Amino acid sequence: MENRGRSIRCGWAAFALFGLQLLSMVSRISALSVTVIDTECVYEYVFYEGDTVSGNFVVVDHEYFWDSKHPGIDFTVFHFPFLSFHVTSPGGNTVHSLKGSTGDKYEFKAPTSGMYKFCFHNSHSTPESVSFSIHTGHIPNQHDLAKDEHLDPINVRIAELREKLEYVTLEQNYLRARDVSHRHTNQSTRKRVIFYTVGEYLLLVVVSGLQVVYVRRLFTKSVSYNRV
Amino acid sequence: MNIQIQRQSLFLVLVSILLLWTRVESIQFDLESGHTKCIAEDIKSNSMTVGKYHIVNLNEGHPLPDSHKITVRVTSGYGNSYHNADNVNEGHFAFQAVEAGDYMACFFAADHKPSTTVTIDFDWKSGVAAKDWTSVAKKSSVELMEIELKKMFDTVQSIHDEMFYLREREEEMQQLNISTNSKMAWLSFLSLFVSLSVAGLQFWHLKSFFQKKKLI
Repeated sequence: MENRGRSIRCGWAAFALFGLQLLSMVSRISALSVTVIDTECVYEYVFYEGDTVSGNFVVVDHEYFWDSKHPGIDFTVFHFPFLSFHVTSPGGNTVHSLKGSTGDKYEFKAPTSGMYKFCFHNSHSTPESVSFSIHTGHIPNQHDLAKDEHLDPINVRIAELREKLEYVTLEQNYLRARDVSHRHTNQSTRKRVIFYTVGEYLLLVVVSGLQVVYVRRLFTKSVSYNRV
Repeated sequence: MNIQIQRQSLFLVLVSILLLWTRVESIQFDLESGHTKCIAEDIKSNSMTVGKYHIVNLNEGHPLPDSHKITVRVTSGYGNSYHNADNVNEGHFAFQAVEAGDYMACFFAADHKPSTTVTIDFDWKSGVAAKDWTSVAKKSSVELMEIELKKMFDTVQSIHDEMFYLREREEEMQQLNISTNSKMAWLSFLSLFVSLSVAGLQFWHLKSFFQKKKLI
């Protein structure tokens, strides 16, 4: 969370500085990846009501190979309106929910400002690695323009442009995460196929050697005389 | 990295940040006492990186309890330590990343008998995002819009770089798949060869054995 307690000097420079900080606060992306053993939650504060919160998440496979359909994880977004501190207790309204998904994009309009909690729940025993990004973007609307005389209509256009660029960046994060997941699967497939194939041949050689040894033993005199 | 992990803290959550080198992230997370959480970031070589962390005070107005202290270690992928802080409430670090790769910032909360949870606010910027835009604004009387457009230009540049990166990765993936494919072709020939040779060897060995035993 940005530290809003910075000193503001008097004069036009102060307004420029303040406006700059305001602008730098309004569009942030956090992109990270967690290993979800049971539940992992990340908190994000949305400053303005009506902001679009968008993002995506991808489950990077962690050793689940038995079924071609990965069980996936549950993704829920909780919303604690008008609160600015952490809430770890259950409760709050569910804004968005997805069950058993291996990766998806989401977008919703924040109904009010406040703390939002993005949670991943893994209902299976194997830990899963999830890589996700969250973006909250604010475009100044007519109300903001009327309130603040330093904002031009051009600021709206600039904000829209910036939002679109952030969407592109989000999309790239998604592609990068999917590439990692794909690569993980490919590498593990390759390793296991080669390992099992070579192991299979060695086993074949060993088994045929054992066969020969057994047949020889059947025909040696020490076992029993002319039993075969 | 030599962090003492308490016996009860078997729970190590690795939070690794996948992102562009111009990304700014400021996250808040909870850390139970006695546990460790690590954040990793992929930083390009010769880029500036700046980090700030502090414990969020959930009781506004009251000072932080003494038990809320954290130990922080920032290390590079090769094990070189860039920042050490023991039992602090807050701190910051800044360094030039000489080695490229994964840099890890690990947070450890001191153990406390009734298990408490500290909330840590961590702000880590690297690359272009570490550039201090406020100082640029102070230096010359540039307009707000120009700063904004400059930022967007940097964003577009980083999008472009990321596209190249993704293209390279796709190329590597294709190479991997092609090599797996050709390995499988060779292995299937090998399997034919192995089974035929094993059968031949068995046949020859048993024939000579029975001939020696005068059974044939």
